[in-house]
Amino acid sequence: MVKKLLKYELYAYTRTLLPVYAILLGISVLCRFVQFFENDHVSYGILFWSSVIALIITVIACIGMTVGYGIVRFYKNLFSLEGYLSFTLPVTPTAHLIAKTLGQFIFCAAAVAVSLVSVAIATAGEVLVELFRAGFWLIGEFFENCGGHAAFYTLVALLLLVIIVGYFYLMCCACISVGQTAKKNRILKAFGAYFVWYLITQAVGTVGIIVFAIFGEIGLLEAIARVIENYPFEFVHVLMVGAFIIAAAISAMFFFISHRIMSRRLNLE
Amino acid sequence: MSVLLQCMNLTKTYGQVTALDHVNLTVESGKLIGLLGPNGSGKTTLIKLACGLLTPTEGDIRVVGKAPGPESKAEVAFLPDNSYLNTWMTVRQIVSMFTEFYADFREELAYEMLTQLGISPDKKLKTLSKGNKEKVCLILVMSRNAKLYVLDEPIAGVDPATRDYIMSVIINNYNPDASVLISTHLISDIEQVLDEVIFIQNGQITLQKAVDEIRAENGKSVDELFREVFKW
Repeated sequence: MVKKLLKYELYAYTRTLLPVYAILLGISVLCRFVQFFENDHVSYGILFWSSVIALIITVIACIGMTVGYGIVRFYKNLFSLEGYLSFTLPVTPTAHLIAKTLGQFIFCAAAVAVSLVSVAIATAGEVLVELFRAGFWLIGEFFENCGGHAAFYTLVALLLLVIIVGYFYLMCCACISVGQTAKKNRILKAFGAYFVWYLITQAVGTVGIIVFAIFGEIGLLEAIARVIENYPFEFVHVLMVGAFIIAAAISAMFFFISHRIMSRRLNLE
Repeated sequence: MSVLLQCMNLTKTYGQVTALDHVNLTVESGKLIGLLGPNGSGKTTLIKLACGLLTPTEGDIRVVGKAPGPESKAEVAFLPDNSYLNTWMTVRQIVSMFTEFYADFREELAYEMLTQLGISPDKKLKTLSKGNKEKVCLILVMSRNAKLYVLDEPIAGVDPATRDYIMSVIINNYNPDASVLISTHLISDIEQVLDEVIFIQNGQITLQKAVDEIRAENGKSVDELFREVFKW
């Protein structure tokens, strides 16, 4: 069932976002086209920077709309009139949540890919060659300095990127689901849920800093500095894997909250 | 006859408002049943609970012997009282979606009914008139070989000729081993096809009887009895 649901998710995303991606690619072509008329005249400068700014704005809009559409679709498809269809399909809430999260992953990756392609088009020529050269040099330096750790760092960094997308999306889904438990002003309650979660993370962060400061005075900072000095690569491993585990655990909690509300407290009034 | 819908002390409240109050109800197979009651009596709430769109505050509900969930939803065909389909999809895409998700969906029958009504499958739902949208929704529901059909106001807001067509679609296409639960205010339009009626008032079932029994015992039609019972 996830496969079937995902098919319609991708269809809905494509229908809405494909024009945005096409506009982005169009602006990047325009940006490159403007560069063919390079000269010292002030009007060229205005035209060039205008096209660059338009490209930057469209890249931001493209990624923002992809994330925003996923969140709006979650609400609209499950908790508005469309929910009458979604929740009468013989499908579990787990399948709904997995399909929606996968749709968001795929289209976030697509938005990033289209943005990179648009930058490549806008800089096509010597600039792009230089960019590639610099990129390959950086990758080479990274692998030379980190040795065998580099591959693992790359893998965990990619996984971290994926989990961050999932974390943010599932957090929004959980807030929307919590909002649905209200008798009225459900969207307002969803924002309230987000605000409460924000306060919790801030409080935990503040408490963490206080604890760190207290223990720092009794040698914690020196101990950490010694670990970094003696085991620099291992320390980064622990840091990255730790961040991944924490983000994955919190994402799972958000998934569980939405699932619980969709399966036990659904009220499509 | 098997029990398709069973409510045991089913209660649903919205804040201070009690929409359903300790309802006990059994719906058996092979019947066309009218769920009748004035506005706000709890008809739609009962239907939504049966379809798993609402969670009961108290009590229990069993649909085809199961608690509302993916298994029961595979055997219940639901027609809500408002348009719930993606209007940007074409009729063909919606039919294809139903075929994919519901194992009991009869695709050929759906296209046959669409042809009869002159609705092009390649038209987007948003380009159809309100009446045609309602017909598409009904076709999708009645093309299923479900055990329980739950229709919320299927003939409200359509002209009398369309009402007749809708009723003929319901009568001719439902699985004879199944039951059809129809919620409506337009009793006179459907009473000749009903086997049984359920009167609901203030969230409580006040009557559940065979239509023939009502006529024999009261000497009145269901419409006349309804007007008498729910008189202001």
